[in-house]
Amino acid sequence: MTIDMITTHLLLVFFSVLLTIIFGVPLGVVAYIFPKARKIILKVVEVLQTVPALALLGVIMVFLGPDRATVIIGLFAYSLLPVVLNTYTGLVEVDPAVKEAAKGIGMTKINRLFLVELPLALPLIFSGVRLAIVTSVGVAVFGAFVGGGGLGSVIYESIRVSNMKLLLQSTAVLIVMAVGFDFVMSKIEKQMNKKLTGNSVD
Amino acid sequence: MIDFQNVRKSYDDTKVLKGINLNIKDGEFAVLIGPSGCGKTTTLKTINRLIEPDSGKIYIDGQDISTFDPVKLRRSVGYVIQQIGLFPNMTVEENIGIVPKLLKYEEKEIDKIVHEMLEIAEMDYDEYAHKYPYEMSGGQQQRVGVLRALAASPPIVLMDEPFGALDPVTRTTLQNEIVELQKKLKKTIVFVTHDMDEAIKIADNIVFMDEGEIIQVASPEEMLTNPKNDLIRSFMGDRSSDIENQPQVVDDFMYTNISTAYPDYSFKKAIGLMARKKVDTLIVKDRDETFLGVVMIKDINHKLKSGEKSTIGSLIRTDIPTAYSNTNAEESFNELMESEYDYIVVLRANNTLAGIVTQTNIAKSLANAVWGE
Ligand SMILES: Nc1ncnc2c1ncn2[C@@H]1O[C@H](COP(=O)(O)OP(=O)(O)OP(=O)(O)O)[C@@H](O)[C@H]1O
Ligand SMILES: [Mg+2]
Repeated sequence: MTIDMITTHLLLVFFSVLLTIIFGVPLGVVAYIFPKARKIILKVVEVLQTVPALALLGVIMVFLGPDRATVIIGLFAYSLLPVVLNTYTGLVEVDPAVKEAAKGIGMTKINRLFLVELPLALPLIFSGVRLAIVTSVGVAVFGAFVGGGGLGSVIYESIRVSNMKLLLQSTAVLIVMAVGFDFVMSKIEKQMNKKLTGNSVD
Repeated sequence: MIDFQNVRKSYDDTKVLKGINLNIKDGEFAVLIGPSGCGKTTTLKTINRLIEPDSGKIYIDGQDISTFDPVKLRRSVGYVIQQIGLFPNMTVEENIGIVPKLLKYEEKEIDKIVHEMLEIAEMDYDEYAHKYPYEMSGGQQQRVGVLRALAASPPIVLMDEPFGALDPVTRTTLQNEIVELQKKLKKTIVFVTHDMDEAIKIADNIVFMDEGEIIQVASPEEMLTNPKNDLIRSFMGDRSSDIENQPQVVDDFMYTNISTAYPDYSFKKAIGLMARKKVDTLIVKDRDETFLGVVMIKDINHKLKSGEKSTIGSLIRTDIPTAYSNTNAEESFNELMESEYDYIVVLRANNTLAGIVTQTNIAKSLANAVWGE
């Protein structure tokens, strides 16, 4: 196990989650604004997540070959659900009184979305991103099978040569990563909630 | 002027508005009232096109509002709702400045407006401007809600039970404030309530609705004396008899043995008087008994410290709450509770001094009411 592998692993997670945010948040917004698109979008991201991760990566590999891009796209597809769903839910759940006031004082749909609804949905969207990151840290392990490298290859290798110590070490690093991200981002999320409502629990 | 012409609205088979004809003049305080579900909110929301009528027309200053861009229309009509609906992600300053911002006013202009607005509500800029809504009480939030509606100087303001969720004392205060405000700013206000006390207190005209129809439009006095049907009579409760059976007025609680001074008293003389009477304020009046204001011992001491010698005339405070001796007692009490002074000055109709009502007076009367004299 080298620093290089840890970095690779983190980069895989980083780029896939970046894609998830870039596509997931707008998809959530579209689902919120267009009732007709809602069912399709929510269904598709849900199905994507129910496909076993390895199978999903395999399918993508058929098209893109064994490559990091395959892993990144696989992780991206796999972690869309929490971001899309949380964006959608966050927007839907904005206090109806606030929405009514926003409309009543003369905000356009775009005004409402950017000045009020998205800012208020932000903590929940952030929570979706946190889930996406934590899941991706784990799922990225499968990347080793499709040429992604990262910690997956260490684990795969240590199992193959029965190196218990290395296996434990690499697993520990994975756990620290996942728990670390979760911890830090939960803290930030609480701060965001506090700024909007005054309480940190929610 | 707002003019409703035969406005109808149905949801499925239910007729919610059955041909509303109504005329509200510029600067009028119109209050819509009636049983729950009679169509008050629906009527109100047709004015800013949050609801579109099925048929009929609404004109503002002679122009058919269905030809307006709804967003522009709403930016020119203030809107206040019971649930307040301040934007939790914005500070008080940003909430108040939002409509001017949507209208693309310059930053400086918006800043000026926010200052003016907070001043109207007597909310200190430094204390409130940077607060978030959750950091304020419901009453303060709704003050900001009203200011948000007024910020872009709309000639018309719509209010849907704006004080309905507030505690009675805060409600009374805000009612007084909105009446004052309307007198000062000459807005046309359309106000929905189901509280007849509120309607009587604030309305120029009360519009009584039932089952999607307007039953009676009349001034509060007219509606009290001539309710058009039994429903309105029952809404009025036994208030009609209140006209003879006067409610308690401040006169009944007043304390007349008070320490007064004339404006030409020297600092020394005033302090001597305060010491003898064991008071920390004196009520100042003219030789002809006209009430002028109060002086406080701390103000005098302050001046004395800086070595100034003068008469108390320069230190008169005029911001103490006053009431006329025939003012409804409850109203004055609420004002007193909100005030930083611990008494209210009671005046006769010709502005001469009659007495004061202190918090102790109130406590005593309450005690009498509870435990008997
Ligand atoms: N979107 C809607 N769909 C169906 N019915 C509606 C809708 N909005 C209002 N109604 C019905 O229209 C009637 C009038 O509603 P409205 O809100 O105007 O009453 P209101 O006088 O404001 O009542 P309240 O005092 O309870 O606020 C009610 O019977 C209500 O149930
Ligand atoms: Mg209503």
